[in-house]
Amino acid sequence: MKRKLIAAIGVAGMVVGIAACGSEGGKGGDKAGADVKELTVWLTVDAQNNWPELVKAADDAVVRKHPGLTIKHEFYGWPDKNAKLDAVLATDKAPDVVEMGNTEMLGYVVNGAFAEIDPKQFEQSDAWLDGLKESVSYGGKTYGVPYYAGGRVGNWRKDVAAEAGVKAPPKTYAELTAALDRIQAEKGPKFSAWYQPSPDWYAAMSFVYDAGGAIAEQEGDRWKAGLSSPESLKGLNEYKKVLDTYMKADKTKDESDRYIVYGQGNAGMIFGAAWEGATAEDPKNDKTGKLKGNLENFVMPGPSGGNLPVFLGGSDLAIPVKSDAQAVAVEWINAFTGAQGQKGLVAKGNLPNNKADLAPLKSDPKTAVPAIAAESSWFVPMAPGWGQVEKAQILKTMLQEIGTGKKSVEEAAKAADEAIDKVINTK
Amino acid sequence: MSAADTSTAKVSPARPPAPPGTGQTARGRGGQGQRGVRRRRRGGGGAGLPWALLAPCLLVLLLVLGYPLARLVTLSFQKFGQPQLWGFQEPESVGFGNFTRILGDGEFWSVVVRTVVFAAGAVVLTMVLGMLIALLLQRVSGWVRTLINIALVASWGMPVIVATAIFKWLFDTDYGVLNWLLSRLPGVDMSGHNWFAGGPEGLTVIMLLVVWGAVPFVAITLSAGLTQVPRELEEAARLDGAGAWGVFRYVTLPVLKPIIVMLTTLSVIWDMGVFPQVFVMRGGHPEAEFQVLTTYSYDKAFVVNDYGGGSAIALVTVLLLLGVVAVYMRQMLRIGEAE
Repeated sequence: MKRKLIAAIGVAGMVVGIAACGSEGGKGGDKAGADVKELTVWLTVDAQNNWPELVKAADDAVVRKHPGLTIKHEFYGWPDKNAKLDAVLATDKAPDVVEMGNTEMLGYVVNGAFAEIDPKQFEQSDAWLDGLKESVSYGGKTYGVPYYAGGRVGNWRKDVAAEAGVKAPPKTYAELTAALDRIQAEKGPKFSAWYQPSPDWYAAMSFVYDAGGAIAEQEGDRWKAGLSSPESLKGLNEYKKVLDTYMKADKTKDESDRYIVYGQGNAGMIFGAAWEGATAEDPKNDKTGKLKGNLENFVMPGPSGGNLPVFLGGSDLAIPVKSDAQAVAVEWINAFTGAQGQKGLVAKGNLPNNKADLAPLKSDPKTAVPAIAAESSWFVPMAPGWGQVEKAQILKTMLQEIGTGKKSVEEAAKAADEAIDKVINTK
Repeated sequence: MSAADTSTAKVSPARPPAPPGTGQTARGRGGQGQRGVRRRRRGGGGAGLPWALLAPCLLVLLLVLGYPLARLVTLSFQKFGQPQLWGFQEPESVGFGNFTRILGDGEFWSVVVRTVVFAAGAVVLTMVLGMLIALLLQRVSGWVRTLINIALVASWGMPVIVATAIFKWLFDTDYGVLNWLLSRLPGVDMSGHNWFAGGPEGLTVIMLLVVWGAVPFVAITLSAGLTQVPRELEEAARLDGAGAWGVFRYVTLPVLKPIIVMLTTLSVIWDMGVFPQVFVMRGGHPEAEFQVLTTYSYDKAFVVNDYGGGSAIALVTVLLLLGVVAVYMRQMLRIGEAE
């Protein structure tokens, strides 16, 4: 067993390893980078797993214009992505293009990590989706390019619904809960009629926004947490009811392996990203073989009567200030996220980064559900300290405590509000 | 048999095992302690030679430990976040700011208490189990002893991360084999029981994992020590009417005491510094109730990007451990003297 004397020293070593490089940054060199030999692009594993051919196409297009250019790719997973990025930005070997989750952008922009860009250089920038456009803007300037968006949809098993005598997907929240009640009764207490991981704040906050609440609201130029408002509490209580009634599995697990759990056959429904259903019925994940052909996406109805506002997730691409090939980086991003690229991304079940491409999706039965669901959406507060709220897992902690019943909804919300207020206004 | 004899006899097994399980520092410090003493004893001519021989080792230690430690100390007195890390802003000194902030934070103290309780529990369990296994090893036949030793070495040799992942599966709420097994017992329904819903229960599971990984070293070292307990002393005690407990309490324990003190201090140091077990078991994001000093420091530095605050926590941890290290050093020096 290889144990360290004091892990603290190890941690210290890591701090130092990174910090030691801290002072060397900012050499930059030729920022225009007309004669660069190498471009480094960091994308998340989604691109590697799901649309590597689009990456290749963008590479080819750029290399055609710059013969002799090598494009290096690194693909990183979401959980450790930011620690890695923090470390590399401390060196002068920063990548030239990085993918950021749209909620993560702001924290880095505020601290000056990314170069300002001119949106006019990018195709369809005048039609970028509002939620994504907001995520790349700060103080009236633009620091990134929307890459793709992802809506959230309900997805259930038609075979399970049919067993309980339910034929059609629900149109209203009352229909949804009635159907889930019948499924739960039919399948017994070990089956989750709706597999909803408690800490999944994207789902929980949909209930909060549906009830008219908000995570935080702006008062003047200050942000104030709002989870204890009567509206927010109403949403959280509804969420708690869902967990108590339909969620029979591990209440501390987060949503990262939801499609795997779904594939194991002990759940009737999920509310997640549009691709999760499709991935769950992949033979790799479909352990019982019953999912294939039995899954159905539907627009989630909300308790307040309309469609449940969904979190408009997505990714942006940004150019680190320290990149020495910014001009070529712009070209690569354009080749990757331009009209051609969007076509490819949409074919993979994503939403495009712009309204022009989104419109036709609503009338195509194959893409209508996520496209319509995305019409009613919410986004995180664009507050300078939002990144810290997310990093400190304040919402996840609160929801887990609510889910496991460790705290009442009111207590958990109050504690979360206090924690949010502490960091949300600090850079 | 004189006191000096016994103590030398039981010391020899103690020293070799110390390095394998130990990190660089323990080995370095232990080594320095012993050699320092030896030099003093032999004294006299050629005082430069030992230093020359030590130099490469010292140099490596200085680079590997000294430099990070120096940076740790500087960092803990600075405001150091992302802009400083990336070189956009110069780090500014904040004096004892980081420390007063941490020491005034109730959360920090609850983490300290949790860490101490966790480490104490793990150490006591490790030592008791290790001693029981060592005693058992003495009394079983040769091939059983070999089997037990193989099992011990195998669990010792398993990488922490792998072991943690396996424990995670064992204790899984929905698919864990433990819940399934317990549910087989009549009248018990543990299916869907969540072992990690609460901090105390979850940390107990993690403690089991830590103990499981630490027992082999303790057991093997103690069983080596036990072979040095003079039979005639035990026999004499028995003739005087001592039972099994009496022999253990008044003969075995006193003879083993130096080894036990050393193993305990080492265990305290290791168990206070547990990191991967907690970190991996909680999926890289330990909940507030699972935070121990190491993960808390990591969290502050690398997740919330307060590198100054994280360093300050690490430094306080080091200071807390210095007391334990002192006990360990004293024991090592004493062993040196006895030689």
